[in-house]
Amino acid sequence: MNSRERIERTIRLQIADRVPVAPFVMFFVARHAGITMEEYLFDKEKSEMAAEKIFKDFGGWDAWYRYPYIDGRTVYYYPVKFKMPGRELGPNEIYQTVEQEVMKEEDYDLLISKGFRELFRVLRRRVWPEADDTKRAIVMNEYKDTRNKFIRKWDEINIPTLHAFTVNSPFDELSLYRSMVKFYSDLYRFPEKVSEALDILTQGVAETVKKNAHDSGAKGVFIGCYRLCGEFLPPKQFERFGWPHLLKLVNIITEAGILVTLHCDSNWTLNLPYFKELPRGKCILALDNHTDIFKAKQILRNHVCILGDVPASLLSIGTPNEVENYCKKLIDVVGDGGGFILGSGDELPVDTKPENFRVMLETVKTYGIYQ
Amino acid sequence: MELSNLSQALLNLDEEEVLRLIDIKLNNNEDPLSVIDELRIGMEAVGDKYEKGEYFVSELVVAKEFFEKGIEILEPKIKRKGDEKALGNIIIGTVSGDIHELGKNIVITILKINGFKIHDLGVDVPIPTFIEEVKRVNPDIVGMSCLMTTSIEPMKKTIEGLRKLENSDRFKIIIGGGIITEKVRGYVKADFWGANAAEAAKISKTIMGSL
Repeated sequence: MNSRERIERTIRLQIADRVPVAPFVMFFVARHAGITMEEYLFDKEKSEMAAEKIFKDFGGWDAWYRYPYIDGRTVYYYPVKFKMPGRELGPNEIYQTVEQEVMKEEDYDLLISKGFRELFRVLRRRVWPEADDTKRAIVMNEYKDTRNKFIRKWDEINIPTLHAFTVNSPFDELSLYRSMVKFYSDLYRFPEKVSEALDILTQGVAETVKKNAHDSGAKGVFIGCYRLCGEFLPPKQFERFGWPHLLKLVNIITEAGILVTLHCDSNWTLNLPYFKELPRGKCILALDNHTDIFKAKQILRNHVCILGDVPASLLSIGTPNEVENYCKKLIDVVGDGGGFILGSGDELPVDTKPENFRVMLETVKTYGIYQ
Repeated sequence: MELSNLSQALLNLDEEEVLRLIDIKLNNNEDPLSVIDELRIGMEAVGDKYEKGEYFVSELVVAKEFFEKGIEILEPKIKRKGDEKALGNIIIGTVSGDIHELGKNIVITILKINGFKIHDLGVDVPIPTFIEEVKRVNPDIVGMSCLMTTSIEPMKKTIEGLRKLENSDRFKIIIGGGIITEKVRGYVKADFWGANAAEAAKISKTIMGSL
């Protein structure tokens, strides 16, 4: 069984020959290849070389969790402020998001009357007034070309890329624009307007996704889910502002034949029962080690493929023995009966110890075999 | 204890009602300090529900937002300052190399509700600054936050520096943030770690012997 078949069977909740592994590698790729974070984000030849190298040096894996590069130039066309290596940060630092109120209260009316694309355009110009809009199409097209070539190249040797297009849950997208505290306050101050805005934004995001996911050839979409989890949002708010829009987005995307990965950071344990409403066998639930993954298996067995969740701290400061034991536990419990992909809890940290990553990959290949 | 209508409005996260009641009270010439006190009691009730797991992070930060709006109106009208004794002094910051502040600010909110005096060093705090400030302020507790594994080493080095201070037996060190686990706590040699803001408050109160 090749990697593609192994991954596809697992997502469909059928048992494969062994548990597949799809680590979320990004900045560790640069560290391993000895290039700076700036080079990784702004020099596509170096970053491609780095991806080849890490795959080869560690003996490979079954799928790229996501397309591993972010073309640094593209962030200047997204309406959220970032600090980038070699620009606002030192050349070897990791990019970070700046939390600020980009979208003002009155912009809700703009979203409702003119739609998501117009809001996106206005906010983008507000955050990056110096960005050269005439180059936007060129940058985006170059990025897409590089990405699509990468996906096709690895596809030919049956290593799929689970997703090449990234969006956020509608709740998170609005929260990023408004800033966390302001957006949470909006839910109490003018709930009707927020609901209406979320409806419009959901439709807008879904349309963008359908177009781009098919373009990429990966046929998969990463939906970032963060600020609506049960650690932050009470269930009654989740049921009103969080879940209906997320589920609607998932349904629209999966009905178009596109795989959805719900990339759920923070603690979602309280929300797990809702995921039973997801279309069966068409999604991946990726957990970052804050959610109880063993409880997730209990609740979602035979319904949703689970991916996770070797913790960042274990990969960074743990021992190979500790990593091996944790992977074995995941394989035994979450891998039982199929529907499990071994992965890192969120992104592999940049200071991952190589011996820890190696043992993670080796354990699944030796211990993860289904009898 | 039964809450006043203003405290209750804040507990209900009803911004309009909070502002309306403040307006009425000021028009009735009520002492702004006693109105602030009602807000504080409402905020304490929110904090209490959060620590019991009945309120969530979003409710805590929204209450704080509405509380601060009230304070903004009331503060200019105060003639004398209260001199309440703080439960303890806490220095808090996000360690060098990390600019994440949401988690830290949520922790600060709940600690303030509990009566702690907070010295917020902000984000990306250089190791020497952290150490100098702890020396200067002489706190009871030092809180450190980080969200990235690359900040584990700076956190470890900051703590090593803090342990060398003359007043190091006077304070305890608590760490928190997305990647923090018991393993990280042992590695950086912090005294405690908290998985969320409620735990941070509980640990701080235990340290001060008020729990």
